[in-house]
Amino acid sequence: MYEKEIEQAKEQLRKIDSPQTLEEFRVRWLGRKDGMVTQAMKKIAELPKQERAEAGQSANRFKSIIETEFELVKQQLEQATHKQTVVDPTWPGTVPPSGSIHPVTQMIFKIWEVFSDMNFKICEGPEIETDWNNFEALNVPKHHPARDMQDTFYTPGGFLLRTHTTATNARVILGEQRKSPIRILSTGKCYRRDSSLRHSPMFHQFDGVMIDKDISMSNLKWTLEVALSKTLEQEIKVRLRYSYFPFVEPGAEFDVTCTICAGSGCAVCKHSGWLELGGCGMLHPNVLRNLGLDPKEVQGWAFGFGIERPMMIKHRIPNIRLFFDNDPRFLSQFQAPSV
Amino acid sequence: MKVIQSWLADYILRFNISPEKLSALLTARAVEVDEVLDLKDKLQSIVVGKILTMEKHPNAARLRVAKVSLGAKRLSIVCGAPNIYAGMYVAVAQPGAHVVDMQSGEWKQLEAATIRGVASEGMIVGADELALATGAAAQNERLVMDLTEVAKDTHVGKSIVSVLDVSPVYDLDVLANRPDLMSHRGVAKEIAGLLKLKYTEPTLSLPKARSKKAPITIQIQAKRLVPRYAGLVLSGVKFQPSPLWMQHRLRRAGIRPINLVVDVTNYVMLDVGQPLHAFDLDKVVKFMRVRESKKGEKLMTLDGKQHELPPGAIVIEDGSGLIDLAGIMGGQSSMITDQTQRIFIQAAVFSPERVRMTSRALGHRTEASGRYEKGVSPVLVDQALQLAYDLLHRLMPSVQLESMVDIKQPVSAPVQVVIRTAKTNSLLGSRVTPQQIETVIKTLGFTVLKKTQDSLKVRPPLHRLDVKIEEDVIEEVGRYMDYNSLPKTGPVLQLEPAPTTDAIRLRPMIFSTLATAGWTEVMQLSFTNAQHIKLTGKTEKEYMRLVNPMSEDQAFMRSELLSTLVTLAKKHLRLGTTPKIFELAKVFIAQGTDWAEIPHLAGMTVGKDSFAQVKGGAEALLKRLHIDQVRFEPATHWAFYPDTCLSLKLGKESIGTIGQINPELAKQLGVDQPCAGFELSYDQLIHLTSPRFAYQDIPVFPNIILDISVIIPENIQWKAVEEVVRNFGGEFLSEVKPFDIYTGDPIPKGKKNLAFRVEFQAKDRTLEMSEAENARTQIVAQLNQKWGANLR
Repeated sequence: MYEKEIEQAKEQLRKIDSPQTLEEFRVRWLGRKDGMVTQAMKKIAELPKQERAEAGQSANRFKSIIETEFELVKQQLEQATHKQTVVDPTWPGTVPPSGSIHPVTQMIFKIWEVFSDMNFKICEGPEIETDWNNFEALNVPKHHPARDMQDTFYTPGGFLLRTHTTATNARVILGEQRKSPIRILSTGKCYRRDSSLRHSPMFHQFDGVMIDKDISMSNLKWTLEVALSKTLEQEIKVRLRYSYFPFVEPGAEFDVTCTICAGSGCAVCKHSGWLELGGCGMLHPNVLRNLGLDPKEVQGWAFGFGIERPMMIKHRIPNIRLFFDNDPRFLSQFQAPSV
Repeated sequence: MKVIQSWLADYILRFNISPEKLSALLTARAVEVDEVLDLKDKLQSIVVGKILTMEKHPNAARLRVAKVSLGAKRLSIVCGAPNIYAGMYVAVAQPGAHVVDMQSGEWKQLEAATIRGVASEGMIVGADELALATGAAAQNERLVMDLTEVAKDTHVGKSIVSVLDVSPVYDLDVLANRPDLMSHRGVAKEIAGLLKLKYTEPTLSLPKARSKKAPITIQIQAKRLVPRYAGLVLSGVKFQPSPLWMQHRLRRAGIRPINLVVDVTNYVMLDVGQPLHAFDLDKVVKFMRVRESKKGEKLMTLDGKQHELPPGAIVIEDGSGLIDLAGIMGGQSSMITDQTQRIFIQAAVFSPERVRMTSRALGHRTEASGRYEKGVSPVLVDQALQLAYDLLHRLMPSVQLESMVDIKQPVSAPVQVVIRTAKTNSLLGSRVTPQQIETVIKTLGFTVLKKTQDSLKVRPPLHRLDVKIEEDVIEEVGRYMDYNSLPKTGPVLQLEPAPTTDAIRLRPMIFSTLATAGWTEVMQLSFTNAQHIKLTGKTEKEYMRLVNPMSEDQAFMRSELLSTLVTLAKKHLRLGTTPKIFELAKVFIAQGTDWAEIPHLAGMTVGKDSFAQVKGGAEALLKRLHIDQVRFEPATHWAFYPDTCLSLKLGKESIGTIGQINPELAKQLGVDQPCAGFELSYDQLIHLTSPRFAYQDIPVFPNIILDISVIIPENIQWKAVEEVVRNFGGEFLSEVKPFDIYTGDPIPKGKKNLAFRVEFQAKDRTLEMSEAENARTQIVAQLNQKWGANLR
């Protein structure tokens, strides 16, 4: 049964060359209401019971053949249509226009992440500070020669632009009146009257402090090596040099290998092969007392490093001023933060 | 501080170490070495020559042509130095040798040259041209080195290394608390300790003075500021230059030789660390009084500079007036001249704070003030005077010690410190034994006064003014062992949540929201200047001016970010980039003598759709921070075009403003195209975030969405249309959103086609289409009635 219809359908399928003719065929043969196949199926119900099985089989075969053939032609037609849309696979993909986060901010975010993971409280503070928080509390009285190391901008009324974020740590400890344990990391803008390849009158620092009963210099070494390797995303070599900062005793200068020249000496590292990140050491008892702590009970370490410097190390940026020139050709290189 | 290795070797037995090793040792454990100047190889090719004859240069009055013997050969050399003479032994550079070019300061290879028509086969060189004079001594004197004192005919043709010391010079960055390292003896002591070598110094003494009484009275009024004032009165002084060996050491250390008396005072300072000053005693009138200056007093120092003094400077006056700026520089009236016969050599200790204060106030820094500021140990006075006398007497035998002065104020007892082994190990994280501590401490010159099982009572050496408390001694132990030998140990602390503020916690998310939306973060200096302030039309009163700016260009603190972003945009546009920039920074707003320091978040972009970009940025932020109560309300702002200015408001409080930047202002700042910006208070923005947002049930019944497109007058703003839609859209209206605006053909002039989408939703049933359609009819009718709107 239905051989004639099948032949007829196949004949028509051969002529299909557009979505319209395809649709016409579908309506005519497979349409729900009046399609030939639907009609054939409907007719089965009208037959006497004993004929239904056989007729049903034929009708199902009829249906299946038409559907299969139809699908085949439909697919062929679709493929043909696709070919008509020319795709140039070498054309750049559509990427939504993206901005970027400033490299210094990226470094700050990274530092926050690393030190938060190590249970530090992340803080920020005012950029205009009191002489007390910035100097006096940190064992740097007026007319102390150490003030020369941090040539200071003064604002009216005897205040100053903070020269280091240590001032913020002092402020936080004083404000919280907390005894121990203390773990604080502060970041932010600092200011010193200095301008060169390595110095900008405005720069950023991160400053850490850890105070408890038995905190040692070897804890400081461990923490800095772990945290800085994570922050710089590479194994770094560090060295501590005997140095003097009035707020720490023992005090040290903290250096990491210069990655610009790999230690062989270049203009950025003043041909030493090392880059100074900043000062660190064990908090001076006077500082602990000034912060409302008892040096007989607690001790701790502190460090204060520049943020631009590690960025310069990481990305081999030769001049600190590039950070604040905001040249689009500089900024756009930091679109994708390192993963 | 520059130290010469051979000079150090005078005080250290069996001192033999490479410059690299010494540098590394000092840098890690005592004092950072900024630079090592090792000339051994460079100067091999510079040879000793002897001037045989001299002739005038035929074409130049100031030049002469010298015939110079180098032993095997003779050279004809054109020379401009006024101090050459026949028979003089000189240093000669032949073509191919390296000398310092005085213009650039760089080493250059010498070439044969013809100078004003006469061939010169080499160069007779000065100390500065061989880097044998540094710093202040390297100012081109046009003089060449006279080696006659040390060279003989047997040296002629040989390298000058055979007659001159060229051992390495170390430029030390001496720490502020280690004034003891401001001298060769001090550095030698330190090195001897670190290398476990023997430090030795000659024992000198003063002869008996001819008189017990000084020829003039010396009175110390500022006793508190002058703990010790001593000196020698010497007669029989003649005017003569110092010997070559002394000049050579001074020049290499950066000090210009003047004459024997002055050179000896400088030499002793570099050797012992005690600044000395020599007065011409015959020019001192009647008496010397050491006192504090009064404001406005005047004094001319020996460099010819007239100073108007601040109050409280330590000065010395005689019967005629001020003669000395103590601790900084002597006065001109009593300086050493070729007439000087009697001198007073002063060795004093002055208050570090006071010298520093005066030196800074006058902007006058000297070798002496640099040492006094850090602190000069009173024990150096005797050594310094002994050495000064010894040198002067040896080099000028006519010198006699007439009398001595030594006025001492009572000194506090020497410091005693207890160092505990347990505290040492706790602070350093080390495992040192009491024996190790004792060994280190003794090697560094400390005296052990008392020993218990777990502590030592020690007295620091007299030159170590910096050691006062236990931690100072612990530092000595730590640095002697080298900090780098300490173990690395993780700290053990109680675990607790590390709380932080939302302003910090949310920032990475806020910044990435903006960056993803195409905004680029910039970071500018916090300073601004009068010229920029003027361009913005603001007044300087609103700005905080720094007391001591680096330059007028950076004299004020920014009080807003927006205008500086526009200035930056100019730069981006010039480079062909469309700026879409934002910045988070503190602004400083002067309020009389007070000020406010507020973090601002600002941004700007340019282009026809800049306003929409800016508003979109603000909306994206509000949405991301779950701030849904904020309304955009018309406002005015100094930077924005009035009709486009919107304030972000919650109740009466405004968290910031957005708008089209006033074209006049933009033009002033260098941007000649439409631009828009925003400036928000970062803290207020953060304050409005809510950690939680309410979940709303998903509607059970389907909604009906209809798009409506009407033609209305062009000047009707969306907000007005929206109001009508919301008022007349019926109870099931759930959402209204505009999606297209069109003007131009075929829309009549003065009209625009506005398309918006309305959604209808009932909570308890499926709406009939007719209900929505009725609402649409209502809306259109109202729009028609109000503005003659037609459905399109």
